[in-house]
Amino acid sequence: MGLLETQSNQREMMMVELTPSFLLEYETLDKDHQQLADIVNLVVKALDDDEAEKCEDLVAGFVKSAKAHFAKEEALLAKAGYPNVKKHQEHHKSLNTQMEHLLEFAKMAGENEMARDSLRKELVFFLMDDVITTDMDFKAFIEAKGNGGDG
Amino acid sequence: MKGLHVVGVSHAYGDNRVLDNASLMIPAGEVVCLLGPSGSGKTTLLRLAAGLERLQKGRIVIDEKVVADEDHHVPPEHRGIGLMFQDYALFPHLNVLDNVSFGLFGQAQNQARRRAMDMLDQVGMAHHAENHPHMLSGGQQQRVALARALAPEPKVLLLDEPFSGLDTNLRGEIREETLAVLKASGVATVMVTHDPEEAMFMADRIKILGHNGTILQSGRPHEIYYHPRHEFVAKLFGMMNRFESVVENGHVEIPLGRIAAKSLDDGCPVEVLVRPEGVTLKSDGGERSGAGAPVDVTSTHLLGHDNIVRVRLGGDEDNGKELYVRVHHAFEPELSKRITAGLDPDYAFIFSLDENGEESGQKTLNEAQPTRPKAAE
Amino acid sequence: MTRKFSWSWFNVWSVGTVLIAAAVAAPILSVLYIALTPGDQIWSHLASTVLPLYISTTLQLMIGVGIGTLIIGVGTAWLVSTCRFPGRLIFEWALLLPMAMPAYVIAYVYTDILEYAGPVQGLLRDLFGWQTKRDYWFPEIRSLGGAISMMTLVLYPYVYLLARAAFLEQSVCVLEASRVLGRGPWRSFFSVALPLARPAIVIGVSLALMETLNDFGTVDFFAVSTFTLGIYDVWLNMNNVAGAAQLAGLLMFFVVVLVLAERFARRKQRFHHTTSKIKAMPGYELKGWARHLSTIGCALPVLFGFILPAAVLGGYAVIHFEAATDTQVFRFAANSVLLSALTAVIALAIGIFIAYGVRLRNERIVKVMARFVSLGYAVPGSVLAVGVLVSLGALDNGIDGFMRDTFGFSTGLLFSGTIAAVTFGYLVRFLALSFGSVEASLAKITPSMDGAARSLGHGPFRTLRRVHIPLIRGSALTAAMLVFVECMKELPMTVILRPFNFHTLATYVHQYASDEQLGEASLAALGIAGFGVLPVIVLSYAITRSRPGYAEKGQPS
Repeated sequence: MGLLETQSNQREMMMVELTPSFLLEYETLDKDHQQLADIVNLVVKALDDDEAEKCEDLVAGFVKSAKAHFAKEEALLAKAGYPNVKKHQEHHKSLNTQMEHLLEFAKMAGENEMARDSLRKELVFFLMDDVITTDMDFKAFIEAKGNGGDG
Repeated sequence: MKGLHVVGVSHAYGDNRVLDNASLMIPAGEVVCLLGPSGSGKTTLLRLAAGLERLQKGRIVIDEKVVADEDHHVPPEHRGIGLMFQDYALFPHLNVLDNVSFGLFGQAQNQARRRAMDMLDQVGMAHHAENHPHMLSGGQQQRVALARALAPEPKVLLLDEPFSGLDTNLRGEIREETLAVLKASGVATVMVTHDPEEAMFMADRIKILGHNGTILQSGRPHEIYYHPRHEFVAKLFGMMNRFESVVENGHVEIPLGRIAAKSLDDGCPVEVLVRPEGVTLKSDGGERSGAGAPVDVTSTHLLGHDNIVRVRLGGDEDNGKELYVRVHHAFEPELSKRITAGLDPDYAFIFSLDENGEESGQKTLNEAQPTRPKAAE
Repeated sequence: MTRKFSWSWFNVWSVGTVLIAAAVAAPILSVLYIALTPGDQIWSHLASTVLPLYISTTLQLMIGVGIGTLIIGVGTAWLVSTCRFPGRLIFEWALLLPMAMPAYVIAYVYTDILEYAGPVQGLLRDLFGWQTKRDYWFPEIRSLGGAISMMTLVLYPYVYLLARAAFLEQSVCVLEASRVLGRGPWRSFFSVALPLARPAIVIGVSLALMETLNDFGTVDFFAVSTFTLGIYDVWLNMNNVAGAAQLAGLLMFFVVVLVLAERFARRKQRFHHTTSKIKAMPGYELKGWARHLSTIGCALPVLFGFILPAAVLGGYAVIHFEAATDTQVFRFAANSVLLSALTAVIALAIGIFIAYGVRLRNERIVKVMARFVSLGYAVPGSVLAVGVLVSLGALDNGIDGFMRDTFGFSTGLLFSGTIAAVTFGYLVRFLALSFGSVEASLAKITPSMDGAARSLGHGPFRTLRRVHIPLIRGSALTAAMLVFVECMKELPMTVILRPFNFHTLATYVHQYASDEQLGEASLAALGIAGFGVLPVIVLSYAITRSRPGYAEKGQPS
């Protein structure tokens, strides 16, 4: 198998898509997640299209949105009386280092191939694993609340 | 999204809880290592993903299809997974080629053979196609097992301690080959291991499982090594030098130097763990601005690419405390000169010892404060 | 989107195992049920008349056979596994030969030799000039003592086999340590080797005693009033099924004691392996009289348990060649072979099914049920026969009643007194053999094999067919062969369950020999013994392979 083929494989698969197992079924938060996913896909596209210089702004926007999302989520959970809200808060806090690294990678992406690779990988993991998958912890709680959260 | 998605999985054998609300996502083409001590539930997680064990709580999704939740259980043969065992589990009554084409039984025979030969070629075992497993060495068996697992083009590949049966010389080589084959196949890979070095080498992302089956930290190998969020994670990579101290003015003072403790309150008792490579040794540099502590070298151990040096602190406090130091060049102490031990703060980690945890009421000891150690001075 | 496939598919194994176990347990349970149902006068009648006799005779028989097999089995096993003397390597396997002889066969042979009109007493009379029975004393072979001797002669190999394995496993190191610490060979034997081997010896003796309780041919021929004989008497002569079942239930009590002893010993046995290192035994080089005594001591059981009876039967077969090769014999032989082969095939299939079911579904219910399947082997044939009759009778009546009510015609007795009933009886008794060996050899296949096959897209059935069966083929065939041979020898159940006028080799030999026509039955008896040698060959092959040092040089000790 050639190297080219490998890379094209990866490109195609690295596009982020919020399929059902990633949905909280709580509209406000799902919307946030989708918005973050859209940015990730823009970054991935920029990397694929050799426009890595776009990444810095995109990732800065991503980090800003993510932080806003965390704050909104924490407030929502606190209001709803989610028992593990403290733990979730701390989890968000622990992502700070990673976000700093994302920004660093994005800054370097224009000139450094390793930074581009790391950015692509880390961004996807960060959103899908650290943010969305961890949010699934309180999915059952939201469902039990029986509140669709429309609006 | 393609790949393996595990959501909120808990599992217990009787009263013994081995997994507690574990979640993870592995996109296609990536390698994720589950690293943890035995009994941390990492193998259970693998078996649950494979369908060898019935799921008790949570959900497992492979390529957007739910393969297991509380009510449904797709048997392993319908999950589209590849599985590789510690003992390789090659079928002893079949030759290498038949082993590799075992999973291709739906295809026409010559097509299956071609595919199997292709895979054997990729792992460099094509010339052993007619041999039986017992005629192969451990490394060769490992290659065949990998080819067999990948031959049916699984969506997810699960590896259970895949290199633990190999001797150290071979391990590095096989690791590299395996990684190349995995990346070429674009499969989502989960690898279970208790060897941190192996995880660091193979993984795009490492997930650390603790004793009680919770995921303690996830991140790039770099993240795990340089920014451990738990004492447990920090200690995974071998010997640590441990100091106790108290936060003062946003800093922690240990004999080797001063470290910034950003997010901890003053007066908080802490422990500081310093990796052996975080201790720097200087000969005859004693006059420099108070950084570092004078030490006596007690022994050196040459390991090849680096050395372990044992030194004893000579100061007033911590008198006689022994430190482990890793240096990357041959270290011959000049007996006539004084040696000073300093600190590279990138390798020093601070964890709160405050069990009551002023910030969060129910915090356990293990959930120490994440800190990003800043330059000491 | 999830296929619900798994449940129905998987449950084939659970449901199948439970159904089979229920069928196998039915005869035993029905015996217990009847035995525990009070109300029949027969019980008090039995209790006041023959019951004390049955109990004391059975106990005496068990004690006699127990002591006999213990001494011969342990003694020969010790000699063969730790000492050096002429013929040792031959005795290692030859000591198993008597296993091939059913007790009833040698009972006929020895009666023939030792009775008043037989050659031994005739010779003595000629030698000493005695005229009548009153002139001298000669032990009566058709007695309790005779029965004990016969059974001891053919049952000691159970003890020998297990004791020998135990002696070999207790690594030389332990024994050497004992000798270094200043104990001589004799004291080492009694203070170290014997206690360590005790669990294995208990298992061996329990197995021998289970066979003792199972025996019908010998006690019938010798008219020794054991429980087994009592069951037949009450059932065949008094025509009282309930009474027979009640006796059978009481006999089960003896069995339970044996099973518990055996289980207990097995549990203990696990803790007795301190080291797994097995080194070639140096062996005590015996000197002088001890050498010859050892050789003779090992030769006698083989001689009396196998060689002599086989020679006598061979001689008769030659003398009575015409009568012995009557076409009937071949018809009966064909019956035996067909019936045994059929049972062996079914037992193997069921054994694989259940053992694999246990492997697939590690569930309590499946495991417990699988244990039920192994129960039959401990239960005497006479008890099972009664149980099979009772339960099949109930089934027949049930079907008959149902058909009469719904379709208005009678089916009569569908199963009772048919080949199917005999086969079923055999299955109940011998399923444990096939299940046990299939389970043991499956256990040697690592579970990761299953995982590998399943992850490669093979369902449980395909995995069984393509991975497990090829891997266990050897021991599966051995298991089938064991079942086959046991069925060939089986007498107590066949006698009761067989259809009218249907004979197997065993029933034929039993009938003719009981009528003192051993000559006519000699070839058939030899045939049974001949088949019985098959497992001995397999076992001795296993012994040679397990001999320490075999793998390295093929040059043991």
